[in-house]
Amino acid sequence: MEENKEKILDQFIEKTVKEAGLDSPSMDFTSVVLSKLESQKSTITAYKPLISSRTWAILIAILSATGIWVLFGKAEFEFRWLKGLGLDTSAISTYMDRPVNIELPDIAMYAIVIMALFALLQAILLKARWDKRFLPG
Amino acid sequence: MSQNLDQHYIERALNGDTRAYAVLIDRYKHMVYTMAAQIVKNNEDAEEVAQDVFLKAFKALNSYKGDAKFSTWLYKIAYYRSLDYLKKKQRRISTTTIDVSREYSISALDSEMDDMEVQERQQMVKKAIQQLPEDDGVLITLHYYEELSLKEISEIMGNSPNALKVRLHRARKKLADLLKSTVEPEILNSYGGK
Repeated sequence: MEENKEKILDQFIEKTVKEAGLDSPSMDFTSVVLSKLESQKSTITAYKPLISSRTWAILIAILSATGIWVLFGKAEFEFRWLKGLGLDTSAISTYMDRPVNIELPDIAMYAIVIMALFALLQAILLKARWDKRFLPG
Repeated sequence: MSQNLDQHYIERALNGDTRAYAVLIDRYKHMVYTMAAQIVKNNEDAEEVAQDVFLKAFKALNSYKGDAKFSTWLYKIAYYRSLDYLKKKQRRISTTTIDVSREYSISALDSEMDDMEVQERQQMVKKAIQQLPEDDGVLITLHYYEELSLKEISEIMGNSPNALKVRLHRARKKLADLLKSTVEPEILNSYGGK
């Protein structure tokens, strides 16, 4: 009996829902979507890396050349600022088999430290900004 | 058959043919719009959501692998996009709770509705479906209009087929109650007008 009632209800709902049909969007729905697609296509910019592969190659070449020059060339270094910190540079001198003598003015040291601090600060601020922009909530 | 036809247009759309995509839009826009309208309960918002669904589907078209029917894949986007829209708007949808305390016969309701004009009847049913909670409206339409099985609907809505069966059982009862409560005043009004 109960099963029969369910069947009648099922048939009734099917009949009414089919007859009612679906809702219709606006007449120009398809053309609006297509024009939006076209405008999105034209505004999409192709991905371009910030540092091109050519620049990377040049940077690697410069770094390698500097490294080779330091290790095998006739450069003399004195780590005066390392000595100021009380660090022993004899190991570096022994490894390079010649006196290590890099002279870095104090003002350059301060500039490097301040730049490093700014870079650190920027990384923290950028992370906070991107988290706010891309993460939900 | 429809799936093969869809595949043809999908491949053309993937090659950048937007006219082929227009065929797919025309084929599914009514269902996508109806689903959106049943969830967001507002025609203007539903239009916006439905457009957004087709834009998103186009962008994600290369991720459609053809495991499920294209329509199932698209309806899933429509369902979740509509829910996201609701969440974003933080709008609470008020749905009607109807209390039909006395028993009534479905056959009697059916014959009462048969006496109405077709257009009037269609409007009344659409309005009643709109008054159902959002998931119930979508479930009823997918099952009875789109003739999808509970397994296919479960791929769209994410519930198990068994949970959907229970839900469908309640939803069709609610819809019948809503129709009954609408039909009676209509009939009284028509008598009053004579």
